[in-house]
Formats: sequence, C-alpha cells, structure tokens
Amino acid sequence: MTSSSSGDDWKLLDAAVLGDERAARDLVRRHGGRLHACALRILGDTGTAEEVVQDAFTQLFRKAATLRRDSRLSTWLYAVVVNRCRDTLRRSSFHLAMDVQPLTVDMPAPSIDPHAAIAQQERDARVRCALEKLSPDLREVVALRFASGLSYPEIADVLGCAEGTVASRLHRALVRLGAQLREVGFTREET
Amino acid sequence: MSSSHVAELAVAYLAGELTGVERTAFETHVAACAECRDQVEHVQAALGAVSTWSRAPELDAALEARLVRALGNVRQDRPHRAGRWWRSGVAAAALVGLMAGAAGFAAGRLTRSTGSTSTPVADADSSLRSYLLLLEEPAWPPVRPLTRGGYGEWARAIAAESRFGGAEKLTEEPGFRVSMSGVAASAAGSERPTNVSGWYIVRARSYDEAIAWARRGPHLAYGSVLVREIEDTPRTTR
Repeated sequence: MTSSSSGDDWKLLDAAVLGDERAARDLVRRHGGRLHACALRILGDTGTAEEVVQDAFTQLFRKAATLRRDSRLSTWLYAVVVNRCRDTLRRSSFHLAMDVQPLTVDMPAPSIDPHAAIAQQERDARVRCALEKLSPDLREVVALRFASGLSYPEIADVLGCAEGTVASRLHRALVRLGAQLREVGFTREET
Repeated sequence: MSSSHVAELAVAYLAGELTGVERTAFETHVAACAECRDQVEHVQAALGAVSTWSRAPELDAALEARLVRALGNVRQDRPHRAGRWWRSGVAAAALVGLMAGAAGFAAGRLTRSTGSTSTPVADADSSLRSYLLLLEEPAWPPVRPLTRGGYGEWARAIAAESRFGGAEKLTEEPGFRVSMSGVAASAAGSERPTNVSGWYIVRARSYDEAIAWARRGPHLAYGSVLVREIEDTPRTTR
C-alpha cells in the first residue's frame, strides 16, 4: 500500500489522538490520497468521496482505543471506506443526485494542453459511465486495485475474502468494464 | 475456456507474464476463437482505461486541511468521553446543524455525523426507556406536501427536555417488504397502510409519556404514529 510500516501507522494514530497535529497530518497524508481515489472511483463523485474519507478518519480517531492492532491500520480504513461507499450506493437519493451531475471526474491541471485536457475529460467521463454499469462488488475491486494500488492479499484483507475470490472478481470486472467501455464508445485507440 | 480463465490469461498475457509456450498456446487459441478474442479486447480496453489513473494519487491540499480539522474536532470531543459528551456544545451544535439542513423533516443525522450508529443524545437517567415513534402514512405515494413544517421544532422540543434519542427521514420510495417465506415485494403494492416516512426515538418513563410526545408532533395531520418500546439489550459494536 504505502512505504510506511503498519507499526508506524499505529504510533502516528496514538500520537495524533493525544493531540499531535503533525502526526494527524502525517497519517492523513499517508493514506488520504489513495482512500479518496478508491472512493472516487466507486462513487464517481468527488464531494461524496471526500465525505466518505472524512468519515473513515473520524471513526478511526473515535475508535482508536478499541481497535485491534493485529492488522494494518490502512486495512481498517479501506474497509470503512468500502462499507460507506456501499451504503451510499444503496441510497436511491444518491443515484438521483448523480443523474444531474455533469459527467466529469477530474479537473485538468492548468499546464496541460487544453485540447488534450478536454479529450482527457471526455475519456474520464466515459470510463466513469462504464464503471457505473458494474455492480458495486466489481467496482470495489477495480478501485482498490487500480486506483489505490492494493495488492491481491491486501484487497482480500479489506474485503474479508480469499485471494482467489479477489482474482476472479477482478478478472470478471475487467471483462465487463471493457465491454461497457465499448458500449459508451471508448475505443482501443483511446487507451 | 471460462470467461474468468480467459480474462486471467489475458491479464497475464498483456503483462508479458506468460512463458513462451503459454504465450503461443494462448495466441493460437485466441486467433481461432472469436469469443475469447472479444474478451481479450475487453480486458485490454479496461486495463488501458485504468492505466490513466494515477499510481500515487495525491491528497488535495484543501481536503487534507479539512480532514486534519475534522480530526481536531474529534480530539476536542474526547474529554467528554466519561459518559456525558452529549451534554457538550458539540452535540447541541450538531443538533442545530441537522435541524437547519432538513427540508421540513427533522433529519436525525446526529448519529451519522459522529460516526456512530447508536449513540443516544438523551439523558442517561436509568428510569428512562427508549420508544420508537414510527411515522406512518395512509398509502404510497406519500401525502403531499413533502416539505412539511413542524418536525424540527418537534425534535428541538424533545431535545430541550433531554428526551431525544434520534430521528431519521426515510427516502421517498416505497422500499420492500420481505415476507416470512423470504419473498421480497415492493411495499407500494401492499394492502396494509405501510408507507413509513420516518422515525423518532424518544426517551420516556412509560407508554403514556411516549404517546403524549407523539400527540405533540405534527405527523398526525398526515398519518398515524406507531409507538413501540425498544428492547433494552446490549448493543454489539462494529
């Protein structure tokens, strides 16, 4: 997941809970980016993804004293994010709100060629559209693997399943994602 | 060859992980099988799409600041952990916040905003029990108007007497009822008047007191309120 050791993470959490803001910032920096990327790819909405990540860190702080320390802290964070995303996707109000959202995910950096930026936005929109056609469990493995960079064993820990299940789910997801990309006009030449 | 197996081989093939013999065998098969060829193309398109995602996504500075600030607020709550944190200004502020955000209904998001699903806000008086006030309506679709007044005031009145245990508005869809035989059917088609639009939890000493709270609320103008005592059992934590 990250270059940090699991032991370091727990120490940072303990220090942060005691009031060390720098430790809190370090912990957020270590995992926040990948957690947000995961939630963003599952939900397709930046604002909701940010809320999910904030919720995960807040829960971590509140439960710091009672969490079991025999697994990675990041595993716990990802599990909370995945569960919160599942809850969000179950709410029809979320889907109704998403229907009126513009189909963009990321804003291009100012230094990028505007034509390339627009093309990238359109690609992102089609990928997001294709992802939304996947069931939540397939979206999760794609997000954990390719947005957050988790290994198969790590994903298995987060989802509480066997590595073989992760592998078969991921392969199924790739086939379906590819088929959906074709449906939304995403061509091989764009990859 | 199963779809999952083809996909697995395709991933390995595209990553250059197949041996020479395996690679040749795979290429030979794919050349002869249109279905497998499609699968490989799908996998290739998908891998290409996700390859544009950053391998080391950075945290936006504004989000980082927001997360650190939120954690700072959690730290400020901790001195109240001795069991009376709900008396602090944080709980009161959260209650005001959820009232302001609701479109008519009082949204019982106190528990969600604190990250807990079962944290009571009411007094810890042991003589009090919890009662569910289930807001029922005659039928589906819900009785108009949906932007209704009075719910926030009702929640504030209950909280002012330290009897508020939470509240939620349900989404505007009928949902499902799973029968005893396990069949799930849309609740919109149910013969019984079972559109439930929300719930409140009040702390009270008796059914009489809980029923009195139900009568003081605005919901009787739209439907009935089912009052049921909540069983006082130990809660499991997540």
